[in-house]
Amino acid sequence: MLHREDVDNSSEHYIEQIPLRFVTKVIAVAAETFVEGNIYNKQIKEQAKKDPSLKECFREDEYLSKRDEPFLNNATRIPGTNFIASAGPDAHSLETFFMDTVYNSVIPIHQVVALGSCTAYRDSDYQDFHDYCLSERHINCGQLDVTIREVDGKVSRTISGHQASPHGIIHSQLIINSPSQSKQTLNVTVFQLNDNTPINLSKNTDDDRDLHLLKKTQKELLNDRKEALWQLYQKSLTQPILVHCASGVGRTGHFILTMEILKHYSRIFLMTILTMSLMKFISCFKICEL
Amino acid sequence: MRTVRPGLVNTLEQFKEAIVNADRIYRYALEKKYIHATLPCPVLDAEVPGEAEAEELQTGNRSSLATPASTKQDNQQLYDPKIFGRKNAGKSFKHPASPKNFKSTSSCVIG
Repeated sequence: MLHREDVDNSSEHYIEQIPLRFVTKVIAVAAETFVEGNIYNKQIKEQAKKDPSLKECFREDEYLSKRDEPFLNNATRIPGTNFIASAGPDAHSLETFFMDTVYNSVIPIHQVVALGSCTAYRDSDYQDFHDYCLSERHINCGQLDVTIREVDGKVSRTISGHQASPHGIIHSQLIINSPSQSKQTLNVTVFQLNDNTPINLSKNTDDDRDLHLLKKTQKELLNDRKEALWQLYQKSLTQPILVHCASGVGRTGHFILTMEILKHYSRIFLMTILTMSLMKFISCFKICEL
Repeated sequence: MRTVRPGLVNTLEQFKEAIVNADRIYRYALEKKYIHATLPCPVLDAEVPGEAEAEELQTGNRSSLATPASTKQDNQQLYDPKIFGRKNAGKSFKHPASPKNFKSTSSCVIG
């Protein structure tokens, strides 16, 4: 029998132990709950009924390019969840990000989760998203005046100061002021996460530099991550959360899926165990009866 | 200009990583007593039946898989809407949906 201590020492081994049917079950629960046809699918299909020329859009390439159109500058509400997925803003799209995605959102957004390892002021520098939450300052975004304050966490910067890298978890608070409407408070939680990398919650961490900078043990760092994720999960049950990384696809999808698996944990796992226990009990009973 | 796309999970590894992470957060919440569970944690303990049975035979301890936990109170805890969401709280468990729900087997768009 596997023990948790053994498994935590080898994360890859742990992952290999997950049977495919759990994955199938996650997908099945997803299909029942939060995977629904996207709005753009329905819109295009309805339009296609009226306009025969739009049927050409259903050819794969054109359809794929067509389906992204409604999402330009707008975040995507994941159906059946409280999560909204979005691409991270760059310098050019920062105003759109604050104005359309956050401030004028149909559902008021008070919590943002940013997943990335590098932010920058200039588009010429490598970045996951624009540095809108890692330094205390003011940003003028068209009609909006954004004040960043209470940045809590360790952030390292390049010598030029244009690029910044979060270490561990950073919390910051943004006040969005509009001349016409009341101000809006936005809490931002930044997770240090490289591209194509899942959130590391195992003991095998390779971020010794971060441990040194944060002056924490590996266990403390892991517990901080788990605590932050749990708090975000609790928030996601009652309020919408905007999640973004660089492009709003990989890391964002991973984060939202993790949270949704947690939400449907009992349906995915515990009933399987209950069924297995009952089946085992019944089979033992039959053997005894014979 | 950057386009906004739905979150995408398209490999088996990504699914597995997400399952593992969710399991770790769940166990952390159990440790911290944010939630209470009456059933054994599933991902590791129950999915290696051969090894589990072998150990049970060696140690004589048959309690790990024999926890029935099927009382009304336990079931209520399992479906606590505060813990496991509101939409499906209290509903009976359904068999996994048919593969018809998925157009592609290689990817799952969750938005």
